[in-house]
Amino acid sequence: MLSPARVELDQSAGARAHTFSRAGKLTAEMKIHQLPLEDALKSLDSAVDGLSPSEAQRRLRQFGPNRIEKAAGTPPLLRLLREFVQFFSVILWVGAALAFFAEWSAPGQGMVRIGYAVIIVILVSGTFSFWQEHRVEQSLEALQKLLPPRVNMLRDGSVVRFAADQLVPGDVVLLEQGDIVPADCRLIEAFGVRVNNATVTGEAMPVARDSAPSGEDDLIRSKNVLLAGTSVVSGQAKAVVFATGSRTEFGNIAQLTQTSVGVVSPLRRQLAYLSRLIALLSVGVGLSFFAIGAAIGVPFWQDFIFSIGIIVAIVPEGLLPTLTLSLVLAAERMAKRNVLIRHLASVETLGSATVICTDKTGTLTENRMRARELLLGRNRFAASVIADAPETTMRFFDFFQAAELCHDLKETEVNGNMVLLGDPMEVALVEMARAAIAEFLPCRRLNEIPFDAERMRHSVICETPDGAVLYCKGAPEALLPRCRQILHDGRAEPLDVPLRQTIVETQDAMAENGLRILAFAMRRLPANDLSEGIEEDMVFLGLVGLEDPPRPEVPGAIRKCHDAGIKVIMVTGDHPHTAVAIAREIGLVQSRDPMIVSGDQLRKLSEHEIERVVRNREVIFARVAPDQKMRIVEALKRSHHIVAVTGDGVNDAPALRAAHIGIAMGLIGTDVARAASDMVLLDDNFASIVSAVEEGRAVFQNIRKFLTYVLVHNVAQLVPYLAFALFRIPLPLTPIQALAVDMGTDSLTPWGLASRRPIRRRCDARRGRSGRDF
Amino acid sequence: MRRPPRPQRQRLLNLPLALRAYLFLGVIEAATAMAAFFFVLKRAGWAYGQSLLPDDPVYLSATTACLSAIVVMQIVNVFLCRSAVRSVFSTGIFDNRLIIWGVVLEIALILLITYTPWGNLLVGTAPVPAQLWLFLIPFAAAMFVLEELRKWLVRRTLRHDAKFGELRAA
Repeated sequence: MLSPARVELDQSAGARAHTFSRAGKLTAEMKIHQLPLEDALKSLDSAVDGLSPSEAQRRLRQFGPNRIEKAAGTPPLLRLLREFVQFFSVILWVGAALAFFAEWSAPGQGMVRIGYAVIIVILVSGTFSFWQEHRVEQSLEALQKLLPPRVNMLRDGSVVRFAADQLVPGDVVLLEQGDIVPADCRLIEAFGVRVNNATVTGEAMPVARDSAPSGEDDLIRSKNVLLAGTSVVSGQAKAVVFATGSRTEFGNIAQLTQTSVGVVSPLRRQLAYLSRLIALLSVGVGLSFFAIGAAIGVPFWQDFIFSIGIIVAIVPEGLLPTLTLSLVLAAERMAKRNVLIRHLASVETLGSATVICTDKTGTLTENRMRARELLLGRNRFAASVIADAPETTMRFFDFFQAAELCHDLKETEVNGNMVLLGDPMEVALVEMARAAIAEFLPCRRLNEIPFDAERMRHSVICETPDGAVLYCKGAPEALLPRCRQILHDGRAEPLDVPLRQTIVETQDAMAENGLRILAFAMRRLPANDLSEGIEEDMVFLGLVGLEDPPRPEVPGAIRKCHDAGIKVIMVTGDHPHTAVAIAREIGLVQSRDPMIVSGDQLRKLSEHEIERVVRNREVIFARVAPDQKMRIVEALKRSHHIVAVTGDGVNDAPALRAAHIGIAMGLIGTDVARAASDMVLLDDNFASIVSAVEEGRAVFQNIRKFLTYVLVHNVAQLVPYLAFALFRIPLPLTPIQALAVDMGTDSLTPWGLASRRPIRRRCDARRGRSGRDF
Repeated sequence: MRRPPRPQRQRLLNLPLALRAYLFLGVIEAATAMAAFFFVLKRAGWAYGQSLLPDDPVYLSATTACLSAIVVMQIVNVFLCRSAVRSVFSTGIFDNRLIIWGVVLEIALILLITYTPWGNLLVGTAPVPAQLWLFLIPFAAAMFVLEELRKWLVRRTLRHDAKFGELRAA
């Protein structure tokens, strides 16, 4: 329901927006990064609560979707013509031209028919490979659409998640660590925000960003602006969009320099080399037969016919397009099995993978967390009882208050229910807190020190009725040394050595049951300031052990890897005991004493020592920070492994790039990880990687089958010419007949060989048999 | 998925593949094609050393026989190529629809090329005697049996190696 005043506002917004859409970006008198926040919002006719859905609709119609339109590609007709002047076609054209020349200089030998036949071959095979390329392009485009970038935005004050191309100027977006900025925006709020602007400025070091007005003249360097296409390296931000699509800075650059990067896989290179070799060979053989024929006195034109025949018989016309199409077909089948291929070449690389380094949470496990055990002060509880024991839980009120406050979740309404969006572990913690305590203190968040893998903890500072309080959540190893006291039954007691010992023992006991452990602590602050050492001298509140069951398909997939000679290495940020417990449950660890390396140990190992460690049969890396993954991947590569590695966070990106195959998570993964990956797991499931490996292996085998089949008929086409030349018999197979085999009768059957799915039956048979081993 | 990953240096076209395609299957198919050519010529009373005109119906029919032989052998070959080690009976015959359609196309085209005036004109062929198809049966069977035999020998060696490997490991 729009009031008349509102309507007028909208129209003026339209008019103003029009000026900047025409000018390319904001005009001089309204540089948005220099304005105070309220004026900046007003200039876009927006508010901190975002636009209304109807206004957003209207602006979407006006500005168009937020995407960078592709520069027009080569027109199809030109691409079709290009097929006719490729390497093989050129050889054939020369053959045809010679045939016509022969007809002209010695009419009546039937040469003209050969000329026409060769031209028909060029046209048919050219059109066929044009169709194949077209098919490849179409399915790659379709695959790309499977995973549209999404963004959290505010519409009328509530958080909604939409495809990023729905963004319009004036929209308020919520961004966090790992997101790729969807449009140019001005910050409204920022907690510890650092961005990597490399895609726009080329500058590789992350830079800090905040919401204060800027005196900077250049928009790109302004500290309160987030640019489309850049990535949020850390922190959380709320920002208002002021330019979308091609009107962003990134859009300007992209339209200038749009280039398509060709896909060259090792297989494709090998195949291109091979088919050129065969083509040159056939020309060579053709010429030498021509020479032999001339030497033994075969009439010139007859000699000429069979030389052309030989060349035509051996040239492998369909090899390269067949490879590309079989890769694409495999990519399509993989998409059905929840693996999205970003680089076509990785289909085949995956088939030769020898090691998979995998995360635990969400990949091997379901990432459906639930609190199972608690340590409150000095007492241990099962999580199931706390909902029915309000007196007990009230005694440990601060513990639950910390769990309720210390998170990055967003609460939003879905179908009339309030739903928490974000990390499933934090959801589990908040749900636990709300089950235990009916009503919490009214609190306002003042500040935040975001989680990062290096610090292994996350703190929020809140204004409570008792003043500012810091609540901290993190790995027990990170928190315990920073606590001096323990809160038991509402009283703070000193945290002495035996008590610390007991806490560590409890933690180990929980971890051995496969639980993931988190600690909570708090500290009352004199004032809200983020000085160094604010997370020291805290009061320990307790531990919580969360369970995360393994995915049911994973044990089978691990077994398949073992059968297929692929090593699986778990790399997790969790406690070593938790990691081993899960590894045993899924069959990843079967021996009594697997090699377990913690992040701290890993830091001290030399490159050479890591190589030795990964040579062990069963290796687990636990309490490892994502940036350490890179060293593991490098060590494996030096040991001549083909490495596939999974990752979801910002810090995983270097490892994803370094690995032969980087695998990002589709559900929990960040945009940054996805952009660095070769393929994306749409369901985050480890078992999907294994089925993709099967597909990858099948591709290589299929191409070999195809090759065998085609080489066999090449011999049968060649021998008649040999016999003709050597034994002076009539030519048993005319060039046109040889072409009839290549282009006619044998045109479809090789396809059946090249597009074969991997064989499932044998793997299943094995599954039944090896069940006894356990 | 029961084999170890492929070695990185493994080439698409390696020696075993080239030998199998060029010197084994290829030679059988080529021999068949030549035999078919001479079968038709001999029936027409041709003797070695006699030359034929390019548009002589006997010559055209003989070249068509050569072409037909290649097509028949390729139909057998496509099933043999479905695996380099496993028997046709375990890879299956009718479960790959594309191959079945390919074979249907292959048969349809060769019949069009051989027995229709239109096909004769386009490809430069002439009808072949019906006995040719009977003549080709033993050749097709021989290629099938020989390749199955080769695969059986390869499988036996692989099994032996596997067993030996297990013994060594134990």
